[in-house]
Amino acid sequence: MNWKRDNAVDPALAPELEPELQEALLNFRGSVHAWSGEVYAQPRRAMAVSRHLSWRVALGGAMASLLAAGTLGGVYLHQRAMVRHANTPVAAAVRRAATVAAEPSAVSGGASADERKLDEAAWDVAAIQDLLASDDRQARQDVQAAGGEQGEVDLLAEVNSDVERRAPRAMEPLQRLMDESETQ
Amino acid sequence: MAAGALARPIEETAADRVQTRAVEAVTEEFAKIVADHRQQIFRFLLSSTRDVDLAETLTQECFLKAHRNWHSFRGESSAMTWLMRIAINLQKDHWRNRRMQFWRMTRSNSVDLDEASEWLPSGERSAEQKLLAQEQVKHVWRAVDRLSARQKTVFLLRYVEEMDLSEIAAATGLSEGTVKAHLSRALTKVREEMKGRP
Repeated sequence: MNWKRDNAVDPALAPELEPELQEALLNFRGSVHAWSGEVYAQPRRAMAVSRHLSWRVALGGAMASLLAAGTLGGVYLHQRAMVRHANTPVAAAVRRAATVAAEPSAVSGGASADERKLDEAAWDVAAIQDLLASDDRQARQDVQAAGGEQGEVDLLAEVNSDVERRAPRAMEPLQRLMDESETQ
Repeated sequence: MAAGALARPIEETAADRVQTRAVEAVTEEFAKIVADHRQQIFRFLLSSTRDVDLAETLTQECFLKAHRNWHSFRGESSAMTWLMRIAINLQKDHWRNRRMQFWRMTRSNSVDLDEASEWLPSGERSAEQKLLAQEQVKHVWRAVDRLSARQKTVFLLRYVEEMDLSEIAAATGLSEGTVKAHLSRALTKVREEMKGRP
């Protein structure tokens, strides 16, 4: 086989073909050889390739940084959401505290000033409940399972302080009840 | 003892020299292979891909792979057939990877048919003959675009690289009968294209 044949038309290449097809094939061959020869003789473009590659690497790095930042942000937001979910039992505890706070006045059928205070406290507690009621059930179950009884006690203490902070008047009847029971 | 200790480095140096000469001989031999066949491999890859950058890259990869496996070349086929087989496999791998990682390619560097058809061998031709030849080349490129990967490879090896059937069979790993069948189908499509009925 002669690999260095020149670009001249060679009828021996396809003797079985009709002349028009044969000519087309030989023109095709000549065209590819001419194109390839021209391109092959040109100097290599190593710098251009290298620059192109470094640009791609830089773009890839930027994309990777964005992805990492997005992932970290997502993890942070997820953690925040979990903490918010953890406050869900607080709503139940707040409800209990409000009930306890309301009981003495209901039993004693006390004075109108006390009743007004209790009503206001109940409204405050209801507002807190509304704020906390948006948590979903799944998260509540997770937290309850993870927390256990000790968690409940801690949460109750947290609730007390939270209620005291956000609705100071709500805790007054409870405190009074506790004082009375201590003196008895 | 002392004489033995002195003699050993001298022996090792001699062995090193022999080894160095052997490595040099292999390097020279391979350099000759590269010089003889690089352009043909590049031309085949260029006609297969119509992409200059890709053809250059695949040609380099082909010779890199050939250099790594040079010890396994036993000379059962010609060096050109062996190199062509490597080039065909690299090309297949490239298209397979590209299909898998299509999102990585933002653009294609392939030359379009019109541009590829503009090339003609230098020679004394009238303007009319040149136009006619360019038209014929364009028809053949259009037909090549419609060929399957195997048909295209076989067609280009036969009518551009002028390999005979047995060499094409050795380079592609197909039987000669299959090569003939692929060539026949490819020529049918070229005829159809030239008659203007796809």
